[in-house]
Amino acid sequence: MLDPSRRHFLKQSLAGAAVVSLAPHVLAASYRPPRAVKVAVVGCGRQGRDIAKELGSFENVELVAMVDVVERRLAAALRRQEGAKGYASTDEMLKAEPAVEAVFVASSTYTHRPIVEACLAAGKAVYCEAPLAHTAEDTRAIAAAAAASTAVFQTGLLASVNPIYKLANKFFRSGSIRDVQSLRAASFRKNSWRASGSEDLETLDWKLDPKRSNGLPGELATHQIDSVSWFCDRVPVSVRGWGSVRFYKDGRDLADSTQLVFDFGDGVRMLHEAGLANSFESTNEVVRGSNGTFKLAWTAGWLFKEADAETQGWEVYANRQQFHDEQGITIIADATKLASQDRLKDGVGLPNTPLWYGIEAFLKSVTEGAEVVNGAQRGALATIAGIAAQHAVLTGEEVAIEA
Amino acid sequence: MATRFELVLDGADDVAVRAAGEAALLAVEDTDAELSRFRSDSFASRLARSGPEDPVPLDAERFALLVLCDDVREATGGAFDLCHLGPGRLVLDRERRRAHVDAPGTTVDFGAVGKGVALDRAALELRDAGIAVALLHGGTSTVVALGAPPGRTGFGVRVALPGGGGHDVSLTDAALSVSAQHGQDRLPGGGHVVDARRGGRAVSALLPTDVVAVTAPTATLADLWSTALLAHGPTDDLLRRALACGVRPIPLPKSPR
Repeated sequence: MLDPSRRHFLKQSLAGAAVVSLAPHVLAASYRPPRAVKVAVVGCGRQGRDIAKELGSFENVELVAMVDVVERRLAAALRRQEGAKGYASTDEMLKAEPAVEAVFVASSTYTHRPIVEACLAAGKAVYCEAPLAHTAEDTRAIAAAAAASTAVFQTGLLASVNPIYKLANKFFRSGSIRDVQSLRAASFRKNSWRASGSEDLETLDWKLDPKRSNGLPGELATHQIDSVSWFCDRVPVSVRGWGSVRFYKDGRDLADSTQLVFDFGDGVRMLHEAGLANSFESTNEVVRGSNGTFKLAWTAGWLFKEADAETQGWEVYANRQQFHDEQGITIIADATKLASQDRLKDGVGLPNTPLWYGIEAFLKSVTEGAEVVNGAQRGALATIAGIAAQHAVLTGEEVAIEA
Repeated sequence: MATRFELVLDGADDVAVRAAGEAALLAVEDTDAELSRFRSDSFASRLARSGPEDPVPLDAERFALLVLCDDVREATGGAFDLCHLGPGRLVLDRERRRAHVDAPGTTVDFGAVGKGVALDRAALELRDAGIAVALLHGGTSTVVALGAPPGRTGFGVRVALPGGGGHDVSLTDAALSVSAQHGQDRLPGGGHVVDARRGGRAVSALLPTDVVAVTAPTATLADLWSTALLAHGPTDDLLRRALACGVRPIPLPKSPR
């Protein structure tokens, strides 16, 4: 007969896996490029404006130009961006602003190719938002242009620049959860995806146009395909998909709710769910292993350990945290230092937005010659997987993903 | 901001109005993410982690906000202060457009102005989307009116008075904000608005039941000044400075002394 206290321990251990929150608080919260650099942003929608705002928190970086084909949107962006000049086309901007060294491409996905090609041809470093393009042909053309250029090219994929993901990946590679059993990703946000405004709606509502957009699989799943592929060092080989218009009965054809199954080979699959009618759980990826599970949610990450998993050295510094009905522990990079200051709890969370880290990595490549983190080839892999996923949703067939 | 924001929008096309509303509410969410002191990746937290060796560079929008807050801090002799929770204070380098806190552990709290900033950004999104008539509020204490309802000269807004009844205001292309100690009791003696000089409840001739309400060209100004006037007390000098910024206090009946 088991000792009651041990029985209690086993019950607790087996009922609820321990939780470890990954929080590299002490990583550098600011970055100043070693020299001044002038940059431009192409595309003044939400992503372009977010990039412009983040650029404002870097010293030595001057946003001198913004580009958008829609006059009203360009004007709105310039109102928020003191000192930047506005242009209706990339060519016009490149001609008028020779001192621009780097260009952030955040325009509608289907417009990326000619913009990227023009910028690379002009010798500009390019940060191109993901997905790279809306067709495989354009994606490969962008990758080829980047490969043929000596200029820096970074894809706007943020998992491998995110300190929380990097730390989690370090644990993963050290065997924290041992072998991968299955993968799951979700991306939910209640939003109609309709562009606001009364003019230029045909241009602005591109996300809902099947000819110019790959819908939820293209625009959302692409980022998580990259995240999981990088994390587990595997790429998907095929995908099945389903989708339907469940909520927004406003004449749209593209699904507002999708479910995808990616085959990563060797029996490992990723279930991906996305929707525009519900926000619960937002965006996250789950990697299940036989020793534990990582849940990564962009600004936070946790490790749920199985009861029979070994205790690792770093857990000594873990901070206890309640997670749903389980007691977990929070882990903090450089926890010893924070613990000595009695500030362990201050370590929870990411010191900057995920986008900030993407921009920081790009600026380091541009100004210091640091190795590019997410090159065009990697961006192309994730983009083509997203395109294949949308094809699977539309055809109801299993679609092979060709690297 | 842990409060509810609501929008009333006027427009003929339901789909377009919904899209405009979504853009406005996204601006509110973004502002919360930026100014919340409870999020580690917020601007407020970046400021709190800064120091003389590691100041935070400011873009034009953030610089303008900190200048505004710093001016009101100075005007109130420190009664209004983003760093009222201590222990240090925010140092604003106006020339180099940078800011930092001067003591480790200092909290930067945008609570007195966050709703106003969020509403101004939401209103800007609505204007950009072509919405000309709308009423927006955050937590019922700060309101913005765009235009006026069809056939009227303004939106009717009622400022509730503690003893019952209310004071009606007609609002057109302007903002209104109300501050009072009652409603939230977060301080030991009740209330929630702090005089940073004393670390306690608002001083001055105001009673806990008094209400300060102002209108202003922007919700940021209205939110900021209604709190500042409550924290410091509406002295003649402070009222003059508020008026110079376009802020107009609404005369309300005082609670019985």
